[in-house]
Amino acid sequence: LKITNELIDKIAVLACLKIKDSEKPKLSEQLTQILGHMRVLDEVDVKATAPMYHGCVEGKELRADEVRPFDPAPIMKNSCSTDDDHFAVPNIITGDDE
Amino acid sequence: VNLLELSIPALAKMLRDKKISSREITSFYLERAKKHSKLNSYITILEGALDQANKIDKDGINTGDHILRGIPYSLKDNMNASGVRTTCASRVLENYVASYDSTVSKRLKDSGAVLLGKTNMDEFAMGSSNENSHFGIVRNPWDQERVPGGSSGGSAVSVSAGLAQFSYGTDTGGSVRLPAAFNGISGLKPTYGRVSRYGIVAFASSLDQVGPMARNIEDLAIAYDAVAGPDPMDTTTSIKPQESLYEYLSKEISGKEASFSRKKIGIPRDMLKDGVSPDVLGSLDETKKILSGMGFTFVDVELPNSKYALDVYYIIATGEASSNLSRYDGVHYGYRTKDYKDLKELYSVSRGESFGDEVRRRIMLGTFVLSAGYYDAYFSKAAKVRTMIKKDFERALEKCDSILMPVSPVTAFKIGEKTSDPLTMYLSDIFTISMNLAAVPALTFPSGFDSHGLPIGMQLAGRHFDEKTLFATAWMIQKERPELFNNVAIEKTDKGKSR
Repeated sequence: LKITNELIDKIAVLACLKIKDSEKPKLSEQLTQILGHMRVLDEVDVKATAPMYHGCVEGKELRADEVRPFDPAPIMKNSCSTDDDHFAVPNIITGDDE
Repeated sequence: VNLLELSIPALAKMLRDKKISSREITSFYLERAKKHSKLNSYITILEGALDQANKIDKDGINTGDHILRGIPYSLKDNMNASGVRTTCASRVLENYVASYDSTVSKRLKDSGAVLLGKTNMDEFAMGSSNENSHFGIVRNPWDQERVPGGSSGGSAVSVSAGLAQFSYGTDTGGSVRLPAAFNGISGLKPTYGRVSRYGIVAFASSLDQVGPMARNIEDLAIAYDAVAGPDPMDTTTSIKPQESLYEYLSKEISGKEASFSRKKIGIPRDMLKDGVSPDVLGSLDETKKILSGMGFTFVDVELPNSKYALDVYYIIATGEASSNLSRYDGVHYGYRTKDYKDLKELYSVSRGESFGDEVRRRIMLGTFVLSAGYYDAYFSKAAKVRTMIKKDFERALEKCDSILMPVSPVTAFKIGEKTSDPLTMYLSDIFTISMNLAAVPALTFPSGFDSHGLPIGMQLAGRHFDEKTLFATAWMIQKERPELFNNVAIEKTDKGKSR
């Protein structure tokens, strides 16, 4: 599997991550190498094996679903753009829609 | 009295006997942390620690108080302490101030332990050398041209250089154990579910565990006791009650070592065939000799699927990370670019500009292995091989009480030596990641020095929730060979000892 520039672009869109054109050759080479190494898993027969998606071994318990009040002020302070109790983002409504 | 030679129980006794104050211990460590700032082990040093110590002295320390009351520690900078920055060593969170305490911080606060500061690390805990920090590389105090190991490199150095009494790191694929080994100290990766991750920045949620780091086994046990156990705020913690391991060691083991019966140790001989340095293999043999002398026996065990652990790990960990790190959007908190046209660009450019190279590489890898068309061949396949790795451990641990092996095939390497080749860097974790995949506990302890005077570390892995056996075994090694423990790197290298 060769990670091409096109594939890098596709993954970058999925990851919502801006990758500069100048970074692509090195990144594609590194990803190709790492993913190539991972193909060693092709030799493992897993037909009779269930997947392990979490690490919990035993004894989990969910807590009661209760609302706990909190002060939003220190949380809002960590955002670089707020409007009262809201996070501010650029306008997403274009002129055509108005 | 040299404070660096004292364990937590010894300091606690002095505090209770009024022979020393918390302020004296705290200011001793703060001064050292500032004096050795070139090691770059702290991102944030808290001068307010002195106020906390003063208050503790004023309120008094009594017999019934928690043993950690008045004792200073450091915390990896991916764990929230309310009102203090949590940067994760990233440009993304450079100015992020935690609005609440992690359960780990809360429990330590309740115990009266004094937080000295937040330690440097690989960005978002992704790395094996602590060279991936927005706040600069951390230096190994045993040889400052070498890496301290990662990702909890700052925590390890704060302990090994005597800049804190004890510390906490997180271990997703070896991030407590590798730096502990490279620094000649002890560290624990607990059983998955033993320590709460509430308030700790997630990297790979099915693997992440918080672990203590200390210069000796009793300190390690006390540090572990203080934070372990069920937590309603983290559903992945086990509800199994947690018993005090320090009490177990000091009451049930101390003086009764001969009657300790869990003395059969497995050696995964196949894993040690290739690429392990002769010094490390020699140290393993030396450790076996010490244990044999105390009545331990050895049996060969097989972990046949551990040869796939590296690949399984880098699929699962990056997949989970790509999902966990999607929360950094430049909106709710964290870095926001000035260069955007619309909301989508605000997200992608903010992320592209603020994540470091290794983090971006892993987000890309993780997004790829989870994407349509590749999910089955990578993520799903890896999750199945993970089951096989876990079963290997369970099978092996039916034949023995614990498994002994080195933490790393080599000792601390030179700064810059592996940065250009990610795959070679990933291989540093070859002996540590299978325990995270199998969710079993593993304890690392110092086992000697190589020909360059650099520390070597061994690790003991055990059954799920059987940290006891690991602690008892390491405790016995410490009693037999105390000179391997309680070493402070700077004092040793200054005197030219062991070099």
